[in-house]
Amino acid sequence: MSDLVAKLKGIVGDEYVVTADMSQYLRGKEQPAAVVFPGSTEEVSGIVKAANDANVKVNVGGKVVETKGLSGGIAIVMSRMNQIEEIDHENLTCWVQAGMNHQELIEKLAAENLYFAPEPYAVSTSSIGGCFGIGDVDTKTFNYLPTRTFILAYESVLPTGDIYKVGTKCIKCVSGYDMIHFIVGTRATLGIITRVLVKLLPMPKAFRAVIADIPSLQAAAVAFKAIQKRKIFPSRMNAVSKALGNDVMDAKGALVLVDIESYPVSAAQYAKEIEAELRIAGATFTKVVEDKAEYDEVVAKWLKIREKISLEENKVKFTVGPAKVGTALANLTGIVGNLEENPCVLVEGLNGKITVFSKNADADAVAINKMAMGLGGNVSGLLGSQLRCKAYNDNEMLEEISRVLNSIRSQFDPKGIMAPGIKL
Amino acid sequence: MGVLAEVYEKLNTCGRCGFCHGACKTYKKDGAEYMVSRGRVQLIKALADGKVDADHDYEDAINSCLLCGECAIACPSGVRAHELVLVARRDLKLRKGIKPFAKSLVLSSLTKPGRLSFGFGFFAGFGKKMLNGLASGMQFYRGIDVLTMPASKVAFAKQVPEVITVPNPKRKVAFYVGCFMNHSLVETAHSVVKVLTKNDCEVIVPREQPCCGLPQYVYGDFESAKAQAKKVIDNFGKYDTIITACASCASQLKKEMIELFHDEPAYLPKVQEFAAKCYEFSEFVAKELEISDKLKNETPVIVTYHDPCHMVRYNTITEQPRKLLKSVPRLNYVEMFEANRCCGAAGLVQAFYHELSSAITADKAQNIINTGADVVATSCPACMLKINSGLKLKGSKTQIKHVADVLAAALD
Amino acid sequence: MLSHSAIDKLKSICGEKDVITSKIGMYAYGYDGTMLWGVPEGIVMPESTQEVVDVVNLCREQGITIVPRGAGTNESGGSVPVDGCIIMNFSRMKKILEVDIENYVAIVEPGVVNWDIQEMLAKYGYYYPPDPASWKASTMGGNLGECSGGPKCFKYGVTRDFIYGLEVVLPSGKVIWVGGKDFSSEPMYDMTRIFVGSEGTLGFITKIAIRIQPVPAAKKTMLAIYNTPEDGSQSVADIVAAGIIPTTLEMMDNLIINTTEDFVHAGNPRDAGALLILEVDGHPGDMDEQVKTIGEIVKKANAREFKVATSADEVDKIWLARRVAFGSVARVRPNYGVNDITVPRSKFPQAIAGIEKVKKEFGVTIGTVAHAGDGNLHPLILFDQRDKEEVETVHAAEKELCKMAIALEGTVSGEHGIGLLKKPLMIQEYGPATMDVFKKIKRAFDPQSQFNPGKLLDL
Repeated sequence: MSDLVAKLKGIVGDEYVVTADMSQYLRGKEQPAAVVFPGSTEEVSGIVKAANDANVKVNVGGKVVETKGLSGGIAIVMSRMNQIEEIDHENLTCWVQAGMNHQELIEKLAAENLYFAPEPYAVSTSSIGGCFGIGDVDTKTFNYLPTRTFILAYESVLPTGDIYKVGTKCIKCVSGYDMIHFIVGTRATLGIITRVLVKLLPMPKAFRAVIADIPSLQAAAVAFKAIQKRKIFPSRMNAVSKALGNDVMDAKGALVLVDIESYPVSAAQYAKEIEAELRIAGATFTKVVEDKAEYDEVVAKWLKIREKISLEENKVKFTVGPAKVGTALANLTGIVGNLEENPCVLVEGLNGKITVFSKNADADAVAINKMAMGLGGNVSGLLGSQLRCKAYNDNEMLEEISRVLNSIRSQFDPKGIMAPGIKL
Repeated sequence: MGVLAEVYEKLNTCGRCGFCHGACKTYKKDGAEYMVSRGRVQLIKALADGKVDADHDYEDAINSCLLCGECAIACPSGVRAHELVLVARRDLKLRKGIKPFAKSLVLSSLTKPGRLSFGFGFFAGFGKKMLNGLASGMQFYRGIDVLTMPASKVAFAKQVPEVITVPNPKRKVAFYVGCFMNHSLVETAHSVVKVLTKNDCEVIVPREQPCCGLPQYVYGDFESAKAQAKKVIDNFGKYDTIITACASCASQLKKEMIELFHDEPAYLPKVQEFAAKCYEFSEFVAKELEISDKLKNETPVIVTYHDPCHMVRYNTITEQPRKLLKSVPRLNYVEMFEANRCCGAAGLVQAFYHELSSAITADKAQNIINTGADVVATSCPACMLKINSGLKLKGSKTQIKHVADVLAAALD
Repeated sequence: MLSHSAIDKLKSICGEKDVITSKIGMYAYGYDGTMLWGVPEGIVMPESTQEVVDVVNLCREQGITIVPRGAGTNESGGSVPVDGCIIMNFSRMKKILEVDIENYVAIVEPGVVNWDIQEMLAKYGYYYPPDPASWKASTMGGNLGECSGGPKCFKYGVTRDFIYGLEVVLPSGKVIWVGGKDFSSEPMYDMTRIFVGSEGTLGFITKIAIRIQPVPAAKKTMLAIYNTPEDGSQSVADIVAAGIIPTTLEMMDNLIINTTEDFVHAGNPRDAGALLILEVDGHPGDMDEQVKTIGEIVKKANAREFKVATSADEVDKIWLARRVAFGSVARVRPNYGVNDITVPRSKFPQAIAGIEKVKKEFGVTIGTVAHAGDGNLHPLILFDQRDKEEVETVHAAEKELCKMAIALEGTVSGEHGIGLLKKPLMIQEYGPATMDVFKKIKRAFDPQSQFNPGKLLDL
């Protein structure tokens, strides 16, 4: 084992290999042989090749690495690769290293009047590599499209240690398989992304936020539907249960947070109409935030709420479509009990998505999936895909999806060394 | 290569982009590549190059073209596939003669007025009774609503005086009735005369009404088509104004006849001169007559209009019929979806490829039904019959009428 | 040749009329929108997922390869038959299965034509943004296979951005659903995305869940005319820098301006170096500000004329020349080759210069239309396909254009795909390591190369 550590030290330098007091860089019970901090793609490649030679597992993280299955393996922390390499105003692109902090990137770009839309669960602690590695679909998806839309090219180290690059600064590219977008959400199973070319947008011209205290999530759902009927599609349009909302204001009921990124005329008009609809739906308090500093504060608070939701382990996420949120909420009460008192309910009005805390998440997910499927939706992600197959009693499809996922994975990682904690 | 040599250059301009797929009704219904203009053009070229044979499948590909001309509008390279198909049909005729069904039953009888009269006469009398006795499925024999197809024992041209006078004639026009109207849609022919005479036109209806030659022309029998054209000119050439209320005849008289004689420079000027004197009914009425003041109507009625291919793409008469219809009081005009797309009748396509043709008609009928119209007006007897059967099959009560019928009813 | 028993089995699966083995059938299914040809062994036209599955299983057992095809309008040879294959033509699987306006989703079969969806959605005031030039003819399955773009993509994105989920028949003969009716139903790996743009080499799509959206309330169409294409591309860069993302930025060069004038007399000046059609859309209240900004930018870039359409007729007039652009060059020479090179927006002027260089070096006539916003250029090379020598020159010139795009850090294909035509250029764009990654994907799905073999890459 010390051979391996020596080899790693040879690759990245002594000071960037940690073998004692590793806990601050790790999440989970198992202990890797070393935590390594590479400074370049070539170094990552060297580390992965060393792992291949020694036949040990590898996992990667922005600041913290999940250790499940990583006993005796290598934890790669990307925090040293945290530079913006290039901002290209003409092409609206930016080359950034995978360990760059998300919040920091957003701020640095904003200083140049540029905008980066993807919004992972924990903006303040996430890395850009993690943002694309996980590829969460956030509430801004409706207007800005999912996270993967914002990656144009990347450099990655394969599980074999080879380096490859795909993509260009062109927003249109149909040359070869679409690895550019497929890589998003694969965690580290198909390799380690080291540098990313992200797509930027011009900074919106006007911002408005509307906050409201509304008696129930159901009432919020009614307002959301009415707002969309008016063909108004804000950036975020969410409601959270009272317990979560209290971080932002002392709400009597559920809290509604809507924000608009647009041009001055429409932003003002939309805010007015949204406020009116929330009032009609029974909001006891509403406020249109016009001041940019105050707006930023509201958004920051919202991101806090989001982080809190992400830390909740016992939750079920599902989608039913924006028009059916109200019905889904009504049905949901029968499964998880009173929603207003639930510590963690998030209703994403535009995505038609609901996140709910459940004491008994595994069992409830089955019931929730059944209910959602009745409304044309389903539980999100891999779990949802499995539950759907089960609901159709279609074991063949379940097996086939699993076979294909694992066959892709084994093509990339024949020795099975990457991201041992991830099961497909 | 034969006659295909004449158009080989044109065949070569098809860049195979496939944009015609969106315009072609036969492709929409069938979905096979050789049922669309690109496929047809490529096959014609392949036949010219000796890469495929003029086998039965080839014949079907060529003969199933509606000749609606839609694809020519969609084609970025300016290929006029329907014209190339016409040449291919001529080539087929030269290679192996005309399909027996077309020859015996329809095309040749059209060139022999006696046989045509007898046919319709027989049908009007005993034949219809006989069909009545058969299974109801026979009613829509090969997509043609034979039972409701009117047939007259006596041709229209023999029902009326040769010269229909009016008290104060301001114009003198000859009425080229056309076979279909002369023998089948006689009521419409009466409507035409009524509209003209009520507007101070003296109408001459020559006893001899030779077929215009279009059916022979489109199946490649140019010799017969030319002979018919000459007969028409012999009989009607002496009049200053010739009116027809059949869109297909109008297209033949005004346009296609000139094409037909491009290889006979000696006779061509005569055809050109004749063509210049011919008018389609709506075209003439809208241009020459002050009709709107005379139209009366008390009953509100919703009307839509179907553009026959021969009106909209072979000619460009689209505004006139609409303008005339809209001038009828209490007539609420509504436009239908895809009003100018082919109804599926397309000459003999409806007989040879009745399933395909009827599927296209069903779309047309649905578009008409969707407007909620009481009446669908059009300008072509063939379209009238085909659309009528389409509407009947869908159980619709919407009536099909010629523009002349709608106007005549408002002139009482 | 297919054995009689294989033909009989295909007929028993799909029905007599859905299996074509006629001589004209083999000929008519030999080509697509390119100049490439091949001869299939037969054509099947399935009408259901089950028929697709049964045909796939039969072909796997018999070692027959399958080339999928929609309307065959693609520009890269993706649906051209290869030796010993049968064509699976999806044009008879064309039902719109579900339209859920309130939840912004529709489910369609692969043979549905893009335009038919637009017509259906127009009734509700909705639309499906990807609008490839072939949209009146091309099928959704084909759009998906090539990941089609179109003029509106600059603002709204390409086909992949509007696909929620798919039902796919895999080479194993198994059917899977990937994705759902939203963007968060993928089973960890974004399986939907890997099928989009895969040209039918990984699986055959039998159902497609698409995202639909409301037609924007307002739209403004503008026309700017320049002395040089450089001035035009400067405007494009400045507009984006000013924070405006137009839906459309279509450029035409001097040759195209002239061929369109010859054809339709659109009224554009024949000595202009470039013409730019711009469109912005959104809230009615936001239009004036954007139009004003664009007007100022365009003037600053030395535009000689700037027009804002004030009526539907004027919009049509502005679009007239662009609409007939391809056809107008076909009137100059019998044939034209469409190229699809794409470069970063900032390299646009260099790409224009590169095209000029290719023109001179190879002595070919090239007219260029471009989606300038996303750097996607369509240089049209004019020729006569019967002149074998000229065809060779054109091929060489096309290759040079692709190399130029790669050198400018662009790509050989922005929206038309790789197929057979651009396959040899892939290695130049990517190098061996990335090519190897692509091969891993193909091997994971279709190790026997049963689906559209030899397209996009060789295993």
